[in-house]
Order: sequence, then C-alpha cells, then structure tokens
Amino acid sequence: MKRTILIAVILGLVAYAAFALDMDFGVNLDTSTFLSSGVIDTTYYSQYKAALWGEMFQATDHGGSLDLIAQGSYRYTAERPYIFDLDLFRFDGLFSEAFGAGTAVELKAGRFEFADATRLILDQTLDGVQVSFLFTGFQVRLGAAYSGLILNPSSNVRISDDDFAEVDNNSIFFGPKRLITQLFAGSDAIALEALAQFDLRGSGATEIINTQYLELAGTPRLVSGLYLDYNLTGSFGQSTRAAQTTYLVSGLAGLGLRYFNQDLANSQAHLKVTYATGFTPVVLLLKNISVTNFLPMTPPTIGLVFSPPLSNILYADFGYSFRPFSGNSSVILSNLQPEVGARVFFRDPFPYLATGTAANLLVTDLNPSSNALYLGTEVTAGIVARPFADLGLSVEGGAFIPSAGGDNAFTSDRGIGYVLKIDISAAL
Amino acid sequence: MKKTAIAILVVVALVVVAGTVSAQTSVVLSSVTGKVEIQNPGETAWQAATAGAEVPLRATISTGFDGRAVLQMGASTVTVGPVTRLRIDELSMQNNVVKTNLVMPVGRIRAVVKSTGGAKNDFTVRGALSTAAVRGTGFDTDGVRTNVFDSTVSLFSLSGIGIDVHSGESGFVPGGGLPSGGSGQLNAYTGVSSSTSNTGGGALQGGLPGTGYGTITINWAF
Repeated sequence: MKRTILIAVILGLVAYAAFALDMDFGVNLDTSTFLSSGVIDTTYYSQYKAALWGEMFQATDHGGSLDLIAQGSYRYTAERPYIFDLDLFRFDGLFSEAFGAGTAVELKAGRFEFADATRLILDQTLDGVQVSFLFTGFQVRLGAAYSGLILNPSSNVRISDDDFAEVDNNSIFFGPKRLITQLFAGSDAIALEALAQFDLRGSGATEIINTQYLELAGTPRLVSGLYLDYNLTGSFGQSTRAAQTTYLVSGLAGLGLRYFNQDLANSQAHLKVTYATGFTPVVLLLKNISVTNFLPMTPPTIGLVFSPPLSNILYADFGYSFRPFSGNSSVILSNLQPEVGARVFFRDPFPYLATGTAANLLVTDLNPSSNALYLGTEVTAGIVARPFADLGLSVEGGAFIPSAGGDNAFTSDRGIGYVLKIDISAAL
Repeated sequence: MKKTAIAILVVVALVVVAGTVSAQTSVVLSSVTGKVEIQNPGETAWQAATAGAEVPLRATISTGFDGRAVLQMGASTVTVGPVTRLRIDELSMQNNVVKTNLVMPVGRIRAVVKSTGGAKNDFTVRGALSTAAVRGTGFDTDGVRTNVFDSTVSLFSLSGIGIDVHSGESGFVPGGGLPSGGSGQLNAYTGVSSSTSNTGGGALQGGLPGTGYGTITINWAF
C-alpha cells in the first residue's frame, strides 16, 4: 500500500515538474429553474448543479501552450436526483510555428465540446480527438468522436426512433452510440464543413440511421458593426429497417443579419430566417431516395416556449439586447442587459406546394386536418445581470401565441403557453 | 567629362542615401497628470516626468494608479493609461514611412495614428500576448484586447497568426491562444454572460501569458 502511494506521489511530482505548471481549480454552482403554464413544446426542466473543476496550464514558446482541464459535477433534477458526471476532461496542446512563423497546430483529446459552425446540427460534449491546422486567415480542423460513453441524461444525440425512445428511460445508462466525424476548412467569413455520424447500435436496433452533412456557413462583415449570417447544408442519409434501406435527402438553410454597436449602449440585434426541410412524398430519380425531414445529430432548442424539431419548419428569429448603463462606473449597473425577442414559425411550404397537403410536425395539439402553414408567434423578454465576476443571473419570460382553432394549424385545445426561466450561476 | 560624370554619380548617390536614411523624429510628453515617471535608456533610476519634456528612444514611461500621459509622436498621439509601462523602441522616418515600435508589457494605451505630408505609417504595439500592427488610425489596446475605432488593425498572436480587426470591432488574444475577432468577439464584448463557468475556454488561458511579462491586465475605461 505504501509503495502504491509512493509511486502515485512520484508520478504526481513528475507530472508537475514536466508541466512546470500553473494550476487553478474552483467550484461552480448553477441552478436553472423553469416555470411554465399552458402547453409548451420545450424539454427544459429545473436542475441544480455543483461542479468541481481543475486546470493545469503551461505556456510554451512563441505563444504555444499545454492545457489539461477536468470538471466533474453532481446534478439534481426531480426526475433524476443523482447524476454524477464527468463534464469535461480535455488535453489541449497548441504547438506554435509548427509549419513556420504564422502557423500552429492545435491538438485536443479527451472529453470536450464538439460543434458545427451553426450549432444547429451538432452541439455536444463527446469523447474524441480534434486536430486543427491554424494559419493566418483560415484553419483546417479534423475531428472524430464517440458518443456512447456520455451519460444518457447528458446526451442530446437523438436521431433515430430508438434514440428518442431512450430519452427518459432511466434503465439506459449511456446515450446513443455513434461515431461522429468532422472536417472543417475556412474562416469566420466562409467555411466549408463536412460532418457524418454512423449508427453503432448494431443488429438489435429497430432502425439504423447514418447521416452525412455538407455545410457552407459564415458571418462575413458587411459594414462596420453589420454582419451577414448565412448557412446552407445538404444532408444525405441511409435509414435501414428490416433490411430495407431508404436513402434520405434533406436540407437546412439560414440567412440573416447581425448588428453590433458598442457606442449605442452596446446594442446587439439579429434577424435570421431558418429553413429545414420536411417530408415531401416525392421520390427522386432512383427508387428509395426520399426528400424528408432534416435530421440534426443533436436536436437544437430553437425557442423558449415553442421549440419544435428542426425539421419541416421555416422560422424568423429576431432579437435585441443592450446595456443601458454600460458606461457607468458601477459594475452592477454596467453589467445589466435587458433583451427582447420574437420568433415566427411556419411549416415547410414545399410539401404543401408539391402535394396539396402540409407535412406533419411532432408538436402538441397539431390539427391533423389542417394544411395551414403558419404555426404561431413567440415573444420573449428578459434581463441578464452579472453584478460580480463570481455571480451571474438571468431571468427570461416568454409566451407562444399559437394559430389555433378552425382551420388553423393547431386545434382549439392549444392555448397560449407561458414560460419563466431563471438561471443563477455562482463561482467559489 | 570624367569629372562631370563622377559629380553626377556623387549627386545621385547623395540623393539616394538621403532618401533612404532614417530620420529620427521626436517624442514629446504633451500632457502629464498624476504619477508619471521616465526611465531613460541605460539608467536604473526613475525620474518624474513633466509636460513638454522630450522622451528619448528606448526610454520607458511608467504611470501610477492615478497617472496618465499623452505622448505626441509627430502627428500621432498616444494616450498612456494608468498602471502602464510603455517603452519606445523605434520612431523613425525611412523612405517616406514613419516607423513606430512600442512595447507595452502591462497596461493600456489608446493611439490615434496620423501622418503628415503623405507619409505612410508602420505603427506596431507589442503587448504581453499580442502585437497590433496599425494600417489605420485609431485603436486602444491592453495587449490582450484591442478595440479599433477607426480603420483596421492587424492583430497577431505570439505565434504570428494574425487577424484583421476592423473599425467598430474588438480583437482578443488569450494567453496561450489565438487571436479572434469579428462578430464572435463583438457578441462577447457587448453582451453579458450569466454563466460563471470557467471551463468553456480554459480558465487560465485568459490570464497567464507565455512570456516573462507581468500577468496582471487591468482594463481601464478612459
């Protein structure tokens, strides 16, 4: 036993000496309280989280660095009172001048966040490796990850029916098993990204779905403070059920503007229209190729009260925030940020134009006999505050006014839904 | 004939040399408030700075908590904020280019870079984590974050990877990291985050530069 302790101590000292490191650690306490009334289509729930993190950091020559960071947490929710999780365990090495001055290679390995440029297709902590080749003006990034060791309550990898069936199944310990690959090349202004996920459920699954995505995205500067925000994604997939394979074609597109004005009380505004294909019963050229619902790897939350799946949807999202006291010497006042937003939702018009029937959408109280495309409007308002560096608060309320009754998209059972979300974050 | 040719060559050579030789311009402390000191090159002692004094090359200017100084460098103006150390490594005119090299291990400056007589500017500020190279006219920097209020600044990390930061934008170079700017930085800079989590980008990356310089960065509003 003594020998084991001695070896552990020696290894620790060697690691410390090898890094000659700067170390830091801390505790974060986060609560998220979610109150709702009426019908809602979001998956939020109140949760309380305590996280312990530690980091070792070593700066190297020419701005390079070696960084090791880990975070474990305990999370409480009413549905799952005991969730102990490893949120983050990441080595990040930045090797400067790897190919000469003005270049670098960044290697990340372990458990860390993977995301696509829009965060609409992939946004998830995964176990994997990522290598980035960095140059002035652009970068090339390669990544591969496995999702099967992420705890089921922490995994948002939901693509097939089997994946969704396991969301609230407490007997399933880990999330869906997928191999996810990523190739990114470009800059902030224009980037081309290829993503793919391979279903590793094996023969026991009801359905095996593999999907591939090719995405063009960017936020180029138009004039001072004004940026174009665009993304265009084509997706191809293979769905196999009972040895029958269907080939899936789908798409996602977005076009909008972002505006920032530091001189106007740090104003931020954005307007973006996003479109995701719905099932259109047409068969393209070859048998078994179908235009269908867009399938993101990790379904995003696109609204506060009404957050339908990112498929068969066309929506406009507007938001504005500002810091009315940003020049004030008081940190408490300076870090107050009121914000308002609105989202207008429609179904994908193409299935209706092609067949005369609007495609189905997996939301509550949809009127099955209606072909109406307009679904409703969500309005939100809130305030974000950071009175101290170690304390942050956010209060956001919203209402979704559905287009309900008669021939409208929702049945008359669907009333106005309300949500109040309160987040408190503290660092110790 | 031979003498004439030699004379012409000499005149041409003199003209060429005159065109390429460095012409040193001066730095003058046009305004001083609070505690401001100067350490002249080769000296260890600090002397109290006074308005109107000329600052020699490779001298270091240091300001206290209440200190502030304005330097006139030809047509350009550099405002030195509190708790700042600034060394003037180079200020010269060469081939119609005004070359200015400043080194700021710690603190914050605001620069308005101008030229006269059609001269071009090659104006750089080397901070603890980044180098800002100015093509335009106005910016402020603390060596980590650079705010541009006129034209464009090329911002380089210690690894030499650069980005262009345009008017109205902010550029950011974390310790052991790469420069970022554009809408992402504006979003972070103008917004307020309610999350206190440090683990998103590495808690230490914002504060521990990989150089021998000091690690305290104080963002002063001025």
